[in-house]
Amino acid sequence: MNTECQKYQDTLSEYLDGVLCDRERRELTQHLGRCERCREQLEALARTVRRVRELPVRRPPEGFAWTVTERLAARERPAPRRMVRLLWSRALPVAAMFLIAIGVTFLVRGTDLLAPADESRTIAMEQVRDREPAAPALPEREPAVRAPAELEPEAPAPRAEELAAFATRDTAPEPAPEAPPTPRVREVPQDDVALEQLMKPMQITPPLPLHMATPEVAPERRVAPPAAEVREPVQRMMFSQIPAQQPEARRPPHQLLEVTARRPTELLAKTVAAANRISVAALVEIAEDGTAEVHLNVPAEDYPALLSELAGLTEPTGQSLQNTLAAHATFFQEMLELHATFQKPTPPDQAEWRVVIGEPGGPAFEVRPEVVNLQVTIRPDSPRQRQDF
Amino acid sequence: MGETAPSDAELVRRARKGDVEAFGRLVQRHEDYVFNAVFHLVGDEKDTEDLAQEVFLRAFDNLNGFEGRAKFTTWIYGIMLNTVRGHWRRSKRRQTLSLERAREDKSRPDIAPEAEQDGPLGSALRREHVEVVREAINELDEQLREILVLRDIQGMVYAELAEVLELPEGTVKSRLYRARQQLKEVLEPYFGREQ
Repeated sequence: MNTECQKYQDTLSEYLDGVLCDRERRELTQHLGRCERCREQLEALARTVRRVRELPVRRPPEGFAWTVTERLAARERPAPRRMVRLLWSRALPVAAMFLIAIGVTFLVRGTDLLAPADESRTIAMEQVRDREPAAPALPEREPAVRAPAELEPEAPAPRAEELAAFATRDTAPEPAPEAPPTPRVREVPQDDVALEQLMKPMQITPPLPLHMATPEVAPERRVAPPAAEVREPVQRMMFSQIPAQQPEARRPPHQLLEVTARRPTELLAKTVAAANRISVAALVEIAEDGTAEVHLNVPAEDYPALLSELAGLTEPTGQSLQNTLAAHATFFQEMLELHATFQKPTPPDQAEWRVVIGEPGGPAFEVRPEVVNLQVTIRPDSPRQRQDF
Repeated sequence: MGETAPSDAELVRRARKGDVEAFGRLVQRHEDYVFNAVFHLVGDEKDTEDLAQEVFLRAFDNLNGFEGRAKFTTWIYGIMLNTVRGHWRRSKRRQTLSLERAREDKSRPDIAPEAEQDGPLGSALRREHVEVVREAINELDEQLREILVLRDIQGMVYAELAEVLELPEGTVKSRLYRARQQLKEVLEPYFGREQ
């Protein structure tokens, strides 16, 4: 690489960002016109930048803001570490005296003192093990409590009751303090266009200009409609409600999600994505008789969670969808390939399939369009169509 | 007429008085890009959520330091960088790169380039490629990683980069070039001319 090339190499990055002045850009363009090596360098650099910009956006889990404010509230409570330290400092002399007394007793009475005690303790432990169920698992993430000494607060601390009130009612205002928490319903698209938009994968992720990424008056993420808009599950629904599960710590309570789809396969893909927020690739093939075949690619590590979430779904035949998926699951490289077959909806004029995930006050899921990569192949219509969502 | 959403400055003013709900709205408003930036800077799924939370907790503690001259976004980016740098200092460990495995995978004769693949296999490849790019970013020197993530993932312009990183614009340009160049050296052998 000669000196001239080296000079222009340093400006390739700025050229890609469009920040060179007119003179610099003109000179570089002229050089690129006669230097194949620099052209290749520019193309390679552009490919690299594009790959970085196309990385999928990683979004926080649902309830992230709620968790932050919960941690703020937790900081206002007495720091357990300090209390333990206090107890320890006072209990230590007492405990030492107690241990000394035991030691003296042991020396005086000999080892026969321990034998019956050990035996009875063993029996007691076994009885406890037999009778008591396993201890409930801790939430996935306990809000960390930081000792006041670590915090060095510079802002006036909010009152504890305000913090607690906020933490328990999410971030939206409520009409009255004594009113029960309002179930929040994510807006449900009602037409195919909206559905397709919802299912559209984020294939290209250009960098967001800062002013666009952070609007000063950003709309609130969740919408709380009037209670009358919360639709009841319809009789014709083929995929029934998933049994309520223990909400994870990260999920805010009191949310309700309705998923509506025109086809059962869409519903499945959206449900899977909603439940697990995992990368799901689904290939759906709908035969002439209306039978739909779904191929789902799910990371192997997500498979147990997937089955758990799908446990309550049933096919139109009444067969458990979980069983169907399990029966057709095969490992393909590092991915798990799932196949499920759906029969034609009955009655045939049924156009809409719905599933309601979660109950007011129960666990909630969110459809995240960026994790769904759904391809629908409709056959045997001629010509063969493929629709990418 | 719907109620106009309060500005960041107004929410900060209320949060300073102890209005945690106002601060919660600030978090909701800015959580997406903070979380995304932290994730790509630390490259670790498990650490990301804790660190992103820590960013906002520190922001709450230091609201008095927000003077309103800069945008809230620029201000919180500064807090985020300090938080992430502290994490780097504490952990003293770098993400290990599994590019070798990825290269071995690429040598498999039955896998066609991404552009030629569709369906489940194509999806698997895309997923793998995303991981390769992420891991290559994690291999960059921390200073280079910062500027690359802020520019090419977060979309900050040069003037904002200079402000957040407290660098002259000339240094921003040269450092960004070095970051992209190093990344190119890692990715080009893997991807080649593949688009």
